[in-house]
This record gives sequence, structure tokens and C-alpha cells, in this order.
Amino acid sequence: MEGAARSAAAIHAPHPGVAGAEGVGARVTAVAGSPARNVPSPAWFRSSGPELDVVVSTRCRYARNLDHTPFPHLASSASRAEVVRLCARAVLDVEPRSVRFDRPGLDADTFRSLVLGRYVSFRWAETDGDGSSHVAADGLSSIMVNEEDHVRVQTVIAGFDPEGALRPASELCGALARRLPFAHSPGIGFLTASLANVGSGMRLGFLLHLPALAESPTYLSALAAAESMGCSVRGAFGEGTAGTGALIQLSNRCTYGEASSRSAERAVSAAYHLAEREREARGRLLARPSGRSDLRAAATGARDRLLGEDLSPGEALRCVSVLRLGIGLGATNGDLVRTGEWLALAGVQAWARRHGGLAAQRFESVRSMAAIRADLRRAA
Amino acid sequence: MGFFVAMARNACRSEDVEGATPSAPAPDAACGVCGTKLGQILAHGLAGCPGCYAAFDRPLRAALRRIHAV
Repeated sequence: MEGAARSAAAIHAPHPGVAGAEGVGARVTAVAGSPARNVPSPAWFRSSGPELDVVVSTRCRYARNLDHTPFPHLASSASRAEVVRLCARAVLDVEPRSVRFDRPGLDADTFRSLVLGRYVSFRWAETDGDGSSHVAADGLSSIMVNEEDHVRVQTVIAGFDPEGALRPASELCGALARRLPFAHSPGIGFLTASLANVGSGMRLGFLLHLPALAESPTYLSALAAAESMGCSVRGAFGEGTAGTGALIQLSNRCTYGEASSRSAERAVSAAYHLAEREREARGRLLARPSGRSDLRAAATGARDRLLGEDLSPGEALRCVSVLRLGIGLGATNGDLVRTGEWLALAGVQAWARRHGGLAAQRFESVRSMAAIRADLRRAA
Repeated sequence: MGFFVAMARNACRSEDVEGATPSAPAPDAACGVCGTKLGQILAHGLAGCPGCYAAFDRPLRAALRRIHAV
């Protein structure tokens, strides 16, 4: 797919504070005032998508590296800066209206907004040194420079939409490949820092909300079945968070030795399998004599707690999860699309609390609960 | 036909068993470009530069087959 990729469509509307427009090599750090306002609104926060009640989002990413250049963990400061410069020049050609953020000097609000939208990873955000993020003005695609690999191209879209995530990411990666010398071996594929990403460098992943299945005795066997289909299953907000908010990230495990289309099919099949098991579990939940009224009471209670209590991040995530289930099954009023951002707000804060260190300094002071409350009040 | 089957079997054996061929690099062999040692790559699953894949072609291909279960 990537080999025949067309130029990435320049469909993005002009955006205030467009950093990329300042030219090749320009270091664009924090924009005066409140730079977080220049982070484009993530597409998956504001759009609906297929199967949205169970599948929060679909993500596709490609890992690429520049040939003859040490991977970021071994690169000198000068080498990392050169990678940033070369990538900026290529991105300016491909996505001229994207917004560029240079890691040194970014303020906490901007880091937070980039992580919340999943434009950058936790790892990128807590690493010092030269790195950049380029975010398409429509909030659909982004390019992360100098994380584990030199270049990570990704698209995140709402709901269960593998084609909607794969195509733009593949096209964007293909367009960059015509401007950057990506490291590639004919017998191996694309060369990445981690052996786990070598080959296609492609991961197709789904953020799944499985609250009913998580309460079922078949939960672990359902996850094991997904893993046996060649997929990785882990908590949505890092290792060890699989039980928090019943949010699961599922993605293809294999990138080497098989076509990326086959790897994508594995992830799609496994995600579909889990979504079906979740629907069956939801059906059993509602089939109980007081199933719907119990769910309505739980969702109302969760909403009240979110509005009225100073919850820990983990507890907030659990409340958002219950409220989202209630909205998804029609047991209480609410906008299912908005719950994606609430999950991200509570999840990122939960991760920061658990992680500590530099990440905590950047994320602990976030106003997540206030943001969720304000949104809930607006919707009331 | 039999010759090619035997050759394929031998090729598989030599790639899958570390140190089975005289040309297999030792774990402390270093990449000529970045200096990362083969042992470090295999232990951490992390290469140092694209050149590592050319420097340690056979052992890394064997590792890739194990990691990706193909």
C-alpha cells in the first residue's frame, strides 16, 4: 500500500500559529501566550465512528529511520538536531499547514495537549533533547521525531475504522519516503531501533472499552484468544493498567516476515472478536431483571461523583468508564463522542500519578477533573 | 530436488543455532558503524543504527524470526 502511496492530500485548513510556515530549520518552541491553544483538536475527540460504543479509536502508525544515522538512543545531540532539521524540511513539503512543536522549551500545557490527543507518546514527552512533533491541522495525522525511532507517522480516528486509519498514515509515510532516505534492507524491510518493529514498522491498534466483558468470567480467556490471533493486548495507559477503566489497547504483534496487510487483518479480526464478546456481555447485563435500572443508577452515580467529588485519577477513570457504558447503552443521556476526551483526561493523569518523575511534573498539575466537570455541566 | 531440500535444511540449522557456523559473530562483536555489540542487541532487543542489521545479518534474522514467530 505504502509503495504506491500518493501524495498526502493537502486538505488542511489554515491554522493560527502555524509553526511550520516559519521555514526550514526554524526552531519553533513555545508560542507566546498559551501555546496549548495551537495544538489542533484531535479528530478522534470530536468525530463519531463505527462501533464507537465499544471501540473508542483506531490508530495506525509507521516506524521509520534515516539511513546511516544512529538511532535516537545512541545519537549525539548534533545528530538528533540534524534529524529534526531534515524531517522538518520534508514535512514542510508534505504537510505545509501542519503545526510543528519542538520539544525543548515546550510548556506543560502543550505537552499535556499533545499527549492527550495521542499526537506524541508518554516516552517522547518525558525525554529531553532535540525532538519534534508535527500535527496536521485537521488533527487526524501526526509525525513524531526522535522518539524510539527517528520518525513515527500515525493516524488516530474515532471508532472501528481500520481503513480510515491505514490509508492516511500509509500515504503520509509514503510521501515522506520520497523525501527522506529511510533505512531499508531488501531482505528484512524497514530497519528500526527495536527488533520488535522491524519489517513493515506498521502497527494497527484499537482502543477498546470492555466494561461488561471485564466483569465476566470469560474476560481473560477472551483476551488470550486475541493474543493467540497474533496480537498484543495491554492496558490503555501503559503496562499494568489493563483493569483500569476496562480500557484495552490491542495491536498486531508481528511486523516481520508477513505482509503488513496480513498483520492488519490479524488486528482487525482480534478487535472484532473482543468487540463481539463485549456486546454479548452487555446483552447479558441488560437481560437481568433489573439490568437497565441498575446500569442507569450506576451511570448516574458515576456522573454525580465526577461532578461532586475530588476523585483520584484511577477512580475518575472508572467513573468515566461506567458513565460511558451507560451512555452507550442508552441508560443515561450524554454524548458518546465526548467521552473519548474524558477517558484521555483521566487516563493521562492516572498514568502520570503512577509514573512519577519528570512526567508527573508535566502532567500532575493538569486540570483534568475541572475539564471533565465543565464538559458534563455543559451537556446537562 | 533432494539436493535443494538438504541445502534448505542445512541453511535453517545454521541460522537457528547460535555459533553453529564458523562465520557466526561472537556476542562481543561490535557494529563497525555505531559500536553496539551483538550481545547487547540480542539482550535488549535494541539495535544501535541501521548498520547493525548489515553487520549482524544472520543472527539478527534468526532473532527476528523468533521475536515475530514466523
